[in-house]
Amino acid sequence: MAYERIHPAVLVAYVLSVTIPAMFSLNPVLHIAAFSGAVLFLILTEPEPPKVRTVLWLSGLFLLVVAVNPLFSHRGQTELFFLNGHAITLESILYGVRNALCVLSVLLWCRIFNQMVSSEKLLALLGRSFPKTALLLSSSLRLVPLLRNRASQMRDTQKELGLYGNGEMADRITGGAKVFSMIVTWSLDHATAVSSSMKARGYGLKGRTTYTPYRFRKADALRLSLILAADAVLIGILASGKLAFQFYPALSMESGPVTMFGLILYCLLVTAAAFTEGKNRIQWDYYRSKI
Amino acid sequence: MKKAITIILLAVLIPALVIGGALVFRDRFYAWLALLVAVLSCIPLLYAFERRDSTAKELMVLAVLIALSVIGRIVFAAIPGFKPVTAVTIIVALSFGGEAGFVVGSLSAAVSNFYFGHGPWTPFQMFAWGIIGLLAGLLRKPLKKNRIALCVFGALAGVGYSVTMDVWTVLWAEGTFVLKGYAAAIAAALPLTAEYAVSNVVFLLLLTGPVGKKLERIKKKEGLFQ
Amino acid sequence: MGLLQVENLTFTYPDGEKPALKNVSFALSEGSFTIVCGPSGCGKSTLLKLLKKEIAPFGQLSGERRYLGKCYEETEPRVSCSQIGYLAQDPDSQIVMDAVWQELAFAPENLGMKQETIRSRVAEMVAYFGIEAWFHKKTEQLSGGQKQLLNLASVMTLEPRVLLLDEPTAQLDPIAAGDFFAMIGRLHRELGVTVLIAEHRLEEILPMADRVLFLEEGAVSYDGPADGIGRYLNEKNQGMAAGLPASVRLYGMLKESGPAPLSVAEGQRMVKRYGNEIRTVETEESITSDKPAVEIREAWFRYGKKGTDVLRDTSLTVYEGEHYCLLGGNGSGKTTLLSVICGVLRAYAGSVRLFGQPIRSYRDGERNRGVTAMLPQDPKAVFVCDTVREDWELACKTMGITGAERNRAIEEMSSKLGTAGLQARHPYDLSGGEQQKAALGKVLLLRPRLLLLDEPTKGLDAAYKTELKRILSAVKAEGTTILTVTHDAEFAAECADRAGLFFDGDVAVSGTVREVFSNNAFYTTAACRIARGYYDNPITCEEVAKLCLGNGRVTS
Repeated sequence: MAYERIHPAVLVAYVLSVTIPAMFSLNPVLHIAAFSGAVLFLILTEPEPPKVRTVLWLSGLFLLVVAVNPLFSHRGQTELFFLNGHAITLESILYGVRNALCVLSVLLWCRIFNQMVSSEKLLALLGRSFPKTALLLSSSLRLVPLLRNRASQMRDTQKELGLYGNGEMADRITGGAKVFSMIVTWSLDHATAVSSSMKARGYGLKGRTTYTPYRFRKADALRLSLILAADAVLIGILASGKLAFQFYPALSMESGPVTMFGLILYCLLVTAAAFTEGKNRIQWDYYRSKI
Repeated sequence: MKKAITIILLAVLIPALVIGGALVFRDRFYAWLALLVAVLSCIPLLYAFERRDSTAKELMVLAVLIALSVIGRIVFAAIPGFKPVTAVTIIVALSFGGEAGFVVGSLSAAVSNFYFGHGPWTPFQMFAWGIIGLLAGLLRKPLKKNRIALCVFGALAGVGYSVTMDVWTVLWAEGTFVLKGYAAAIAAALPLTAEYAVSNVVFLLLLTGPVGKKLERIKKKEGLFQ
Repeated sequence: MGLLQVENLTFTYPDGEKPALKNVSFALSEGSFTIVCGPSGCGKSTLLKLLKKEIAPFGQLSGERRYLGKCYEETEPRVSCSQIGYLAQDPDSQIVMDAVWQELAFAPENLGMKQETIRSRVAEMVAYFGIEAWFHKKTEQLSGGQKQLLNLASVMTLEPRVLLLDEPTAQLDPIAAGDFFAMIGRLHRELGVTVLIAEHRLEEILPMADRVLFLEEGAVSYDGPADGIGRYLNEKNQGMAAGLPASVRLYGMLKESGPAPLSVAEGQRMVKRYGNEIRTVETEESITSDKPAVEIREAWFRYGKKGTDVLRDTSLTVYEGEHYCLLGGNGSGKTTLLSVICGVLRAYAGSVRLFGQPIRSYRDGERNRGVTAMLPQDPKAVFVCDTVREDWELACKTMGITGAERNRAIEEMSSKLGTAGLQARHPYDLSGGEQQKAALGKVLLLRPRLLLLDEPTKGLDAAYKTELKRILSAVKAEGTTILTVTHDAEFAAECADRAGLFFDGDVAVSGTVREVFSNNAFYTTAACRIARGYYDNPITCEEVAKLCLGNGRVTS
């Protein structure tokens, strides 16, 4: 994947640049763009198509958010029908659709974020200003699979030794509580042993530095500058109100060169990730074909 | 010198973010503000933790407790509203103090989201669980003495957590503080809120004794978190 | 002047009745390789910890410890930390970080090294240790042997001049242990690192060592060249002599003189000084029943729907009243097989029968009351209470034994195993051998007809192994069937009736212990390898010695 070669700071800045306008602006064009950019990226990077369960869940969420708004907000001028004495308007339905698009696009971009920025990359970024927190996070991540394995080993052994009796609820609960209690004891013992090993290797000496395997290259500096420049311009356009969108009393949007420029800029931003991945793949296939 | 620069930077940056948000995001200002509050409250508290002198042993004990609460969240993932994280955070705060409680609470959110997926909810979970830890630490003395007080605190913490997450969800999805919509959202989430409150009380009753005892013992034996 | 000097070191733990170390004195010269050994509790672990300032235990200390001539108390923290490296037994409890690269960078970060320096140190370690293949993995994904190598690499990033190793391979299987020792050997030969290693497994490292320190009850009773330890132990401490390499033990039994052979090759040379007209040892008929206790036919098992099969068309028969040892490489599936036999896991095809009945016909509770019981690889998993006694009482409760009868059962078991002093203690405070015995006691209280043991000799010293053999033969004499999964060929040779080699999901070779070991060239006892090609069927040192002495010497 092309994003493996990009410095994590750039990746974080990029995702924030895409999601913050998507989260906090009202313009549905932005949401559609964000959604499309995410889908495009996921198509290029996920090896398998999405599971049926995921698609159903997302669709369900979409419909829920769409439905909620018109039930509580009755503004808007195009009345479609009446429910419980309140008007259900077209505008409020469309506002619900906007809400849903916003939620879904942000969820997809979060998924992309989780894919591109692994725990190690995030911790490497944190390591500079919050080294102790990064250490604590790394240790906790290391401990989760270890403790889970210990717990299931202990549970299996105890099941075999008859601690859980014949499987009745009361036995299961008391058995489980005993195993849990022992795991806590074991974990605290383990903590003591690990801290010994840390001290043996010099933890506690003054002047601890933090190592990061990710180097900030010129290409990264270029990318970051482009992203920040795009952000600055977008913030300016958003502040000027040229990207505003009105739902009530009727749908209306600003128009004009500034608005177009802002929309195009955002679209470029949103598709940049997909574009990079796509270019990477084409180049790869091209070079392969040359061999 | 570095400290002075940092303070000036913060004094300028924070109002800039707030005011900037107001100008840029207009309708969505409250959501932006909420996000800022969540993020900006965690940072100084974590920073204070960075500055503090911690022994390797204290760090590893915290790491183990964070891992245990994360595993607890994973194990009960199928049952919404049943998360032992709040209970573990409170128990840690009772024995080791508010700062340790904050760290365990907020970092449990961070670590568990590496498994469940990060998103804009992460700062809010970190904030909510962290503050619960901090408050439990401040109220250590009365909470340790009185079982009922502890249960009430646990229930309120559950409500508080649920409300915080609801506030964020409504603000984000709906944008403004439409009171009626908000009340409706709270009402819809009432069974979940109740579950949070009840599960906290259940976990507290089950775990405070055995786990609390072990924490006290290791605190005394190794002289931690004094 | 030595690199490390210890003068009249005496140390008593705060709650200890007698000193853990008494007047210990020795000096390590640069580039030397010293083994420190002795029975459990002799103080070797305490000695190593005291030599690592950062983790030295609290207590009453007198005497001097010097590094490069300077007193420990005066040595700068950065020097003592980076130049003296320490490695403990348990691979898991030394790893701090989530990812391998983070763990390798941990020590240099602590010392405040710069980015570039850390990068080059980590790169060097990866190259030297051959870690490229798993450099990008998470630490928890590594095997036990890899984890211990990672720990070693992590310590070596600080470029220490002295390595203190406290039973580093006790928790590893023989292959991983071999790899680890090979790495230690390389570090010693190629970099001139001074090594002080506490070990029970002397077979591989005795040939590497210049010098051996033997500790008994805290005092040094032997301090001399490696090839002299054989004679010393054969004369003075028979119990521990059992832990010596086969060649050395054979040397003692044959009452040879001169430098002792330390490797199998040297042992072969020694044996060839005797005749080989008589090539076989008489074998006695072992009386075992022909009723199967365990009968597995064509069983298949895998973890998860998409996993690979761990048990592939597995067939195994264990007869009532016998002791069967299953050998085989790490990860081959032996533990899974045990889990299937005791019912924790279920084979999805094939049949598993216990004492003639299909395993599924036993209801859950029934099976663990008096039919099967397993001692897991980690004895700690057996305990859920705060004292050994409470755990044993729990076992009695499962069997439905209460009151006076219960107390009697516990007393009996305690005297049979020799665990009287351990009853009131917390299981986690016990030593490895004591934990093993306490766990075995709890398992035996379930009065199983079939006893399953998973790697029971892991980390045990020679004396405890002998104890274990005694206990198991007593258990067998009562009619219990024993199935042991182990890597320890010597252990199997001495107490098993039949053995099998597990490979590729099935039991590849099966037969009497003698047949299996005599036919194997590699996976067999050291004694067997020493006699290979010269004698036909001895599998223990005693048998080789008998053949040698029976034939008489031919060359001098």
